[in-house]
Amino acid sequence: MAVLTSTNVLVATGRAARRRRQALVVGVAVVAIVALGTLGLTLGAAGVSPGRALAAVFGTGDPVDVFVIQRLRLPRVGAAVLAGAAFALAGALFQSTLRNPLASPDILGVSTGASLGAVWALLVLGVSGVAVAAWAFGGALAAAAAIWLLAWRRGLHSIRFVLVGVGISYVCGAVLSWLLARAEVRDAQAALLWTIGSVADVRGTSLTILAAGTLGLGAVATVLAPSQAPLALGDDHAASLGVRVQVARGGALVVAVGLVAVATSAAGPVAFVALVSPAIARRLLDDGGADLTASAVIGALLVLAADLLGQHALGTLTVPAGVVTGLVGAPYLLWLLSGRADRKVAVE
Amino acid sequence: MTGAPAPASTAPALRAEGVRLGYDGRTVVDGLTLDLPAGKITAIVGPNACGKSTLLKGLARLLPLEAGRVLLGGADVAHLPRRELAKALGVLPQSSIAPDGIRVAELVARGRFPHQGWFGRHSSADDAVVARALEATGTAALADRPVAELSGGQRQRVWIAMVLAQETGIVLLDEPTTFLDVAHQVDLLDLLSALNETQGTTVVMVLHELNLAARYADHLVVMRDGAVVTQGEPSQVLTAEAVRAAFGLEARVVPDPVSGTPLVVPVGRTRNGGR
Amino acid sequence: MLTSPAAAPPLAPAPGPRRGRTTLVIAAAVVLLVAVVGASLLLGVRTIAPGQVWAALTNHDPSSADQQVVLQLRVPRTVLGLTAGVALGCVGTVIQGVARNPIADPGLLGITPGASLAVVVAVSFLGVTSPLGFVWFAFLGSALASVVVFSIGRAQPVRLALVGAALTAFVTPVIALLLLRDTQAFDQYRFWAVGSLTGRGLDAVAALWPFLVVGVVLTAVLAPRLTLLAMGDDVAASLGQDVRVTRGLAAAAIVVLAGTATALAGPIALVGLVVPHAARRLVGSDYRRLTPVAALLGPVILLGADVVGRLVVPNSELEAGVVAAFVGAPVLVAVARGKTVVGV
Repeated sequence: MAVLTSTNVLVATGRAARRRRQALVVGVAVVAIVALGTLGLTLGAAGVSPGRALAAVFGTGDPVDVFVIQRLRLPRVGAAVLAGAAFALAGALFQSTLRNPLASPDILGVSTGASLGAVWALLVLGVSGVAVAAWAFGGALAAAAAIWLLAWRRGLHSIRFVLVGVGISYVCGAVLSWLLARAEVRDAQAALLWTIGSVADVRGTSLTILAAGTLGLGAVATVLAPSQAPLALGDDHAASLGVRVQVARGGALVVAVGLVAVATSAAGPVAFVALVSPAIARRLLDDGGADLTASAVIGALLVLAADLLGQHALGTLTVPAGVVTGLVGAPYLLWLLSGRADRKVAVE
Repeated sequence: MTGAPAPASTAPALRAEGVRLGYDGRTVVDGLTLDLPAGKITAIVGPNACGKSTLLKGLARLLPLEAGRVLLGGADVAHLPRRELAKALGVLPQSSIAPDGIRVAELVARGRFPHQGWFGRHSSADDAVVARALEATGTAALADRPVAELSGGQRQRVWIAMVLAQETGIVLLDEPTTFLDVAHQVDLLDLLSALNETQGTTVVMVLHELNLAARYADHLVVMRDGAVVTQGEPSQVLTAEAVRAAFGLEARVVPDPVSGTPLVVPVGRTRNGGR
Repeated sequence: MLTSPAAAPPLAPAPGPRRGRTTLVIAAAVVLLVAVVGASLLLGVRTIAPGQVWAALTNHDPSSADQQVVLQLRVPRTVLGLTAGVALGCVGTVIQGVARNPIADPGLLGITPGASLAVVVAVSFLGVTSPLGFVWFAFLGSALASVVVFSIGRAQPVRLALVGAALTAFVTPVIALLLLRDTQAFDQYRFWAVGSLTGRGLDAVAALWPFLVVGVVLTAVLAPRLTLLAMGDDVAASLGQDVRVTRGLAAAAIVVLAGTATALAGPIALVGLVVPHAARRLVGSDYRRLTPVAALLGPVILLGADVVGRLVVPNSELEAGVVAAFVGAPVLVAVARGKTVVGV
């Protein structure tokens, strides 16, 4: 009995330690988001002190401050946080449900589909504004639907999904470069700008849609989360633990695709956030699973930081957030990969 | 599969001298010296993580030695050309992958690689060796079947056929009976025993099943924590004390009613008849 | 002593790919390649009689505009398609073999994006404008990217793919940023980026053919090694192979082949990915049979895509890169849907 009790304690303390660690990671990330968000409100051509900025958020104080903060800076900070969280959440869902660290919208063609939709709208249809976002949304969904239909064979298997996704991504990419080559060079350049993710101009309706979509789908993801952990053990294990594998996977993929579509249509394909945020979360939590909450806050922090760096770090040169996430995230992942010794050593 | 039976001399087929092995700076086996008798069946047993598979990898040069040397008929294995080593010593590792869509005969034919030229053209002599390997392992009827469609027992036989096609005087096998039911385990060990008898092949295998090891091995090596606890003829070596020393398990050792070799019967804490 | 077919039980399926079948497949691929080359010389936006094409090749009349088109345009793009196609077929096969990964290809591993970045840098900073100038930068970019990918990825399947993804994610925004700041460079680059057999002439082939030869020889040397590597590192080593040498040779082959293909035709998607899969379906998984088939199918698909691209749009052309993606995707889908897919 004594043995059992001490094991109990061990299990309980282990779980508590993981909880604490998770709370710590999420807590630190949230604090950093608030700090960087505040910084984002104060920095810029019209310098605003933190106190004045906070007042302006609630509509009091200098009318110019209120305009700058409420119309320009607050939406931008909000868009960065929301889009980052949406991409990261989508990445975590893709990776856990497909059991593949490579499964991210960038590689699976969902983001490329969105880019193709937007570039098609800009260059062929000649529309602008919300219509472009709508086309991007449609592009992401169409790409995902195509992958789904083509990969479906008596159920959805991860390798098939990834393989077909890579193919779809290449086809979308080929058409996209063809459209860029065909168009008038200035128009093509404008379209190219869209294919780099940026949170600079997400306001009004598109911000509302982004917020509603991210929060709504995020809530659904929270409901789905318990069935995702068993999936990581393999389809057979998950099924024996009582998870309806195809339903759980299908649900997670629908939510993930929805998140990518919402975020991409608002901010464009911000590179790499979906791939790298769950990887960072996994490393910080060090418990083998990509926690959805931790991934989301890390994604939000990443895009917010990237946007601030892009705006202010290079003096007069401003760079879209999508460039910075790629420039900073990629070397980080490379460093992570080069540093990690292979742990899968079997000793017998 | 080599024509001449092994000489009756006492020179070991393979000798490890002061061998140190490990992964990423973690030492698993340290200062181990061991002779593996020629023309005999040697079984290496021991608890999980005792270093027996690591030792096998070191003997086969699949894992570089951190210290010491392995001698094959007096020659240092580390200095042998890889192909020469592959003609003398065949290995069946645990981590083998059957390529997508490959068929049995093709997989077995890949064992001919060390004997072939640069572009690996198959000669009719190669075909004959492959056919013999298929027949020796009872897989000839499966020759045209995709490996992926086979049962676990059949697949293991096919892999052994590949090692046989390599035509080496020494064969090392890492837990060849894992995942096989008891009938297939006995079947496989009978096959290796027949090989040893008819061809004089030196067989060295890591085994989990103590009683089968005791029955089929001429020479038993018991390991624990990267070192040899005891070794020798199974009837001399496999005692209750040895089982306790290696596995930390209370056991009775009685004569096997079929073969007379030692039979380890664990006592256990429950359901042990009140002992 | 030989196992006679009669020994096989009646339920055994049809015999697997054999030498006879490989010969047949290779012969068919050669016929197909000859047909595609013929089509590439005969067909185009401009209708030219077969007699004129023949005359251009054998008994050239400089005053004939038709013959000029054949010699100045169709012959170079045919040669380019052949060269780049062979390189793509070989590089895809080597990459998938050494990475043991069915989705590995130069694009996914970040090698093609590396070439693209080098071309952009050349155009926007160094003022390189000639297609022949692009060639060397594309080559250099591919080589550098391969070195990065293989030194960090260490030829472990998932690692390689992740490093490739990271490299791509790093390079893509840099390219976009550079191009947004330089309209002229963008104008140059975007035509290269589609992937096409036009615009680069025989001079590019003349500069690069030695690399192709080296790459093809390396691929041939690698074929038996990759066959063993497919069964796992330990099995390959126990059969007498030095796995590190195989990896080194493969890295060298990938550098020269991916460099040649990208330098000649730009970033062509999917051909390198799809060709080895198709070849595997036809002749099985032994690289000694697979490699020659892939080397033939590469130019068939690339050049075939180019010919199709000349015909689908009236009075205009669709670049080979775009058509190749549409030709390759269904093959990839078929592969993904077929039987069991292993890897990654």
